[in-house]
Amino acid sequence: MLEAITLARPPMLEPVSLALPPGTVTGVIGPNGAGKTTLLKALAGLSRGPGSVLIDGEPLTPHPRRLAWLPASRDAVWPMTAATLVALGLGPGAAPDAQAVAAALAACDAAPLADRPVNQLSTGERARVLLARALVARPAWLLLDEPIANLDPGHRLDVMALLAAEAQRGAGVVLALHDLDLAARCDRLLLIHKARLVADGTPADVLQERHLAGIFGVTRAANGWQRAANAPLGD
Amino acid sequence: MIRLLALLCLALAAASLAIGPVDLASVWARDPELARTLFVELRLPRTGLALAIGAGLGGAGAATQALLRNPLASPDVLGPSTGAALGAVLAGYFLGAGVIGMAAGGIMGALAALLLLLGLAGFGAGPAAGSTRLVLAGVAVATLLGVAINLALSLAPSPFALYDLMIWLMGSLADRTLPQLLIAAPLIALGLALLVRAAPALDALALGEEVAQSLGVATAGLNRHIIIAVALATGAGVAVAGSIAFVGLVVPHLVRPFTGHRPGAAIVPAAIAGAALLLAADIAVRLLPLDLRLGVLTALIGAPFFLSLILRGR
Amino acid sequence: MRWLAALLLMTAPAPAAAAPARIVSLNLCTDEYLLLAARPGQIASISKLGADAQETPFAARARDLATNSGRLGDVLAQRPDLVLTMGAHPQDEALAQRLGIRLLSLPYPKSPAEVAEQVKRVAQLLGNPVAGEAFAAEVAALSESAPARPMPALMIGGGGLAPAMGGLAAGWLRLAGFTQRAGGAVTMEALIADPPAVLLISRYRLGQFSQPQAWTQHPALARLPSRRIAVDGRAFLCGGAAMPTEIRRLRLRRSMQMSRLPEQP
Repeated sequence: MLEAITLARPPMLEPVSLALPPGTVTGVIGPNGAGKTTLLKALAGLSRGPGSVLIDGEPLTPHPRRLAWLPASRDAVWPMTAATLVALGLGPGAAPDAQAVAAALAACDAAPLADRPVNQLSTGERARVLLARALVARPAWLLLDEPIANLDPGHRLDVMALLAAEAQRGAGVVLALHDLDLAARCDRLLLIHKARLVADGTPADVLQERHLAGIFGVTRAANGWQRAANAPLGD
Repeated sequence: MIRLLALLCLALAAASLAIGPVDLASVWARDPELARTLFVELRLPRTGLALAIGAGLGGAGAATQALLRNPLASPDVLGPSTGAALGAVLAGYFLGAGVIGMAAGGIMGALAALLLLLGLAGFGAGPAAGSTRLVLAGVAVATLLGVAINLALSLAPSPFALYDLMIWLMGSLADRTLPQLLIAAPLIALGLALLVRAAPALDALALGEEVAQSLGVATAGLNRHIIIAVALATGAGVAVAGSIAFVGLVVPHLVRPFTGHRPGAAIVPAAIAGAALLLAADIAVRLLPLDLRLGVLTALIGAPFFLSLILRGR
Repeated sequence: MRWLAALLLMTAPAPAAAAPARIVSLNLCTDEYLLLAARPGQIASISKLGADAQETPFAARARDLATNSGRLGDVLAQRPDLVLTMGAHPQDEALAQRLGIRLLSLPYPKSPAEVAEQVKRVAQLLGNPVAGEAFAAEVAALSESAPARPMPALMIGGGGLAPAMGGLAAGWLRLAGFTQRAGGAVTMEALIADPPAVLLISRYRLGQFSQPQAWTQHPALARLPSRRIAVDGRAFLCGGAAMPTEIRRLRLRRSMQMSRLPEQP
């Protein structure tokens, strides 16, 4: 159980209290700049501020098997191969585990990329390799900031399925995303708007018209989405 | 690959011990005591210092590039080496410090320059220092400190001081003493040992500061650890031999392809390669008929490589 | 010396006024000549070096004297009757000629005998020929009593520079009973491989660090079988007026060496 107790990062995030059970996929949605990344980083224990985060009742101490953080950045400074990069996810000083690396790459459909330098990959390919790095140590919790942002539609669906499978094996997954259709596949959604947690519940609860129009400024249309009339843009 | 490098080092060291204006073997035939003095007091310190200082510069260069996640970062170009020279100059020419005092001055100078560089580059305050900002800060720090050395030597009590400027800015291993070796080498070894201990954490840092933190790396502590280790690994050497450029910049690039481009794992091979490079440069200094400074030769080898890096890069 | 005769003629009515009253020296070596031979009140100023105890053994005599920077332009306000220097700047010579100032630029002496001649000349100019004769007599006495069998020696200074074998310093060393066996740059390796019987190490500004200075204190030198004698580097800077005292001291050390007394370099 991942608990946040009056977790706040003023002014970017107002106090939030949550309890996330393992084995679920939780999506964090909200307009640009709402505070999604701030919340995720705070949950991952990467920023300092008021409130606390507990995993199974204990204060959070970072460890590859306990928690994996995947930032939105796709930068890779060093021209190492995908396999080398993924292996770093096992943690500093960990014993090499070629099998785990291969499995993680395969799960992200990046096995053919194993021996290619990561700085020569396309953004989407690199995104999948970076995701494999987050998975390789089979952590109990996955906190992912926009993991599907650069992926093509096919791979987006693959990743959502992969995350669902991770949840099935007992991991807890929390991911930030913009794709509202895919967000509907999560077990639970957190809607962040202007630094506040505005809604918390099932996709059906959260993805209501009033939220979609009022916060995102969109409505469902026959062929997908369109701008809502009278949408209070920027509110 | 490490074995090959170590063998190369040993071969160069043996050559370095054998090379000199005087034929050691014939002296030994004449008077073993004199030959012993020549070997222990002159040849051994020179070779030992080339090994130790080269290793320190190579390892520190690799570690700095790993810490700053920047292939252009290097203590011998971005300020710390110049800072070490200034620290040693102040300790030796003004405070009358001996070998130990100058080594301490060198280490503190390197430390101060490192802190100044990282502060100017905005490091440690958040996301990784942008390459442009880091290099600009480094050029500024190195230039400033170089001018300060010039000023210090002009104001020093000894009238010979200003003639030493070239030695401090370009390096020299000529006529270095055994006490200098016995003081610098352990300090450099300590610095290198600290760097090697941090190598796995530096590898993890390749994923970015946040990810490294989530993997259990204490990044604030790592910064402090590396800064102190780099100061130890470079400061004492500069206090003895002056600021030798390019070794720390070039050598990590040469060895990283063999460590899978893991920046932390490159520290040990870079140290060995740095030792080999400095040994080779110092041998060249003694063999070439021209009177060239050590730093000129390391730069002669390093600069074209540096240029090709830039051309190949973007 | 024509101008000297003219000067004497011009000031003939007062015989004592034949000697110049305001003398300036722009150079350490002529500073030493002046400090040796001048009467009180004759010296208007000497160069900064002449008053520096690190530069000359005569500095104590210069305690109350004004000092100059060594350039003619800086001493014009003192309205000197005579300006002494060695190896004058061409600009200074031209300036002196334009302004009608008596500038005497002595050549660099090449032997102890030439030094004695220069001291005599300066002493005469100052109206104190006795001092000049005394100094010349001292040098002559040293020459006559120079040891018949000089010891082969090597004198080295900062950075391993050895005075030339046929030069001024070597000439003085000969009076002390040493022949300089090599000149120019001496490498530490060559020194160790073939150490001289006597090693004369120039001590100059000992407390002030510099790389050349550190060379003279290299631990390897302490391991050589050579007899080591310290030499006052200050006197050898000019190899001039301060040398007789230093030569006498070196003779004493030499005889101590020869009688195998423990040496203290």
